[in-house]
Amino acid sequence: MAEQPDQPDQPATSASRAAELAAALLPSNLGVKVGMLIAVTVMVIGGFILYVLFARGVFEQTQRLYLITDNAEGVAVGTDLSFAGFPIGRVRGVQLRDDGKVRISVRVPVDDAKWLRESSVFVIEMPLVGAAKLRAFSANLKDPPLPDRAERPVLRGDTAQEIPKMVATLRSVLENLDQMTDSGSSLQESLKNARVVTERMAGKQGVLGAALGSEDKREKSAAVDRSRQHAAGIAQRRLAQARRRAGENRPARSRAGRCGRGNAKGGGAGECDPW
Amino acid sequence: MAFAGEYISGLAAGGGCCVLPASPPWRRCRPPPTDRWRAPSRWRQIHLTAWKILPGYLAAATLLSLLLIEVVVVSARRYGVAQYSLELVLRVLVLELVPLVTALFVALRSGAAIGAEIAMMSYRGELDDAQEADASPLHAELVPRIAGAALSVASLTTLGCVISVWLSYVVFYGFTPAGLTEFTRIISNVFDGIELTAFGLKCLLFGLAVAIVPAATALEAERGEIKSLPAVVLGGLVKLFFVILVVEAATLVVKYA
Repeated sequence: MAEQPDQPDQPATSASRAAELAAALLPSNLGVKVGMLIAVTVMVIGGFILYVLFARGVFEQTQRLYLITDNAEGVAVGTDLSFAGFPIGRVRGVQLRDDGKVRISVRVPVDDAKWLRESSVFVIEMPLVGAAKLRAFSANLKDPPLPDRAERPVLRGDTAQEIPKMVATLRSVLENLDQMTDSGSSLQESLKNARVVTERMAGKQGVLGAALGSEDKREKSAAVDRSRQHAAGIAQRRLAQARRRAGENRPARSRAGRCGRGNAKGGGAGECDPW
Repeated sequence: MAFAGEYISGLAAGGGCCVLPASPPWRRCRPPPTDRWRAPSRWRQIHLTAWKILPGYLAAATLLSLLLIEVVVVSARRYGVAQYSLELVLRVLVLELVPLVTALFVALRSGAAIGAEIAMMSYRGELDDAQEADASPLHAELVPRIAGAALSVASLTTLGCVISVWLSYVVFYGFTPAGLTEFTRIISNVFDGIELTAFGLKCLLFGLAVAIVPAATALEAERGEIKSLPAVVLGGLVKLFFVILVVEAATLVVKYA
């Protein structure tokens, strides 16, 4: 009976031993370590939030610029406005007005507003890869500075929209090239003729052969020359025969008095020639 | 499962519960063995969940960050979009992967332990005994664990993200302040108010999921039925991974859909 009250203490004893073992495993400066971890976490979170606020320009003075465009596709809140490749402002709002045009609200830090002048031109560029880019161009930095809340139109240079035109032009160029290089085309014929001429120039006849043409044509022209010479020879012989005949018949004709009359008219010997 | 609802309702009073003494009410009648054992339970939980794994976690976070940053940088340069790679690294690594990996890390390290501990308490009937003794095991044992695990997830995520951001700067610009202006501009692009709010909310949900889901599932263990312990512990881990994926997908949908 005396041992019964001691039985519930057995689990208590084992539990206290386990607790002692666990306590021995715990470090003595547990609170310090955990406190350090939590403090570092809180400090890092607070510091990062301050850094982000600083990065977003919460602590710096800005001026507003309103850009008006017909199409603000690709422009979103956070898009940078860059000048000479350096971001000098950021889009803080995009709003569709009642007249159907889009007003892009840009915040520019006062320190960077010196790059924007009255004569500045603003362009939206849509590259093939990446988001739209807002660019500012100031040709003359001696112009008056752009006032706060100024409204300026923005031009749009869309590379993607240029692609169909470029493809159409390229297609027509390729078709022309195809026609020019096709067999039977005038360019091919010209090249063939040029090759024939150069081959002739490289042949036995040289440049003269190229100028005179082909061998067949040269033979034909020689035959024509020979026939002409033959015809000329025949004509000369006939003429000689005729003159001889005329010399034999002259006394008889003189007697007849026909040629004398003819000579008296100034016809000469040719008048009496039977030809 | 009756306790599961009490866990969630008890979280509303979590801040106040964190100041409760660590010793469970049904043990208060016994003198504490040592002064160390009086350390708040949530501190012990944070020490076990965050401090003890801090070196390993930081090493893993550094290695993962370096690998991913190098992969993204090399790929972006190869495709000619290097100017977008830093923003991509910050969005993918810092905002998405580091919190997810941290939650999984703490889940493996502590979620299973919390679930096993609660399951053993259910198996021994300690929770039922405490309820019969008009004590509140929820406030005494579970809420400090939940708060400790959530704080651990938040701390580790914060430190991991800081390491990732610092490594991103070093890899892109080197050990020089020359790129600070550009880096600050990209930081301002990535971390706007919505992103920071979604990031904080996601970390909070991850921490609560890591602490609550295994413990709530472990309460399904039957008293005196030791065969039910492995099932509830493993089931708790499976549910935890599912909840973590659902939270991650939901935040992605809210941000990008």
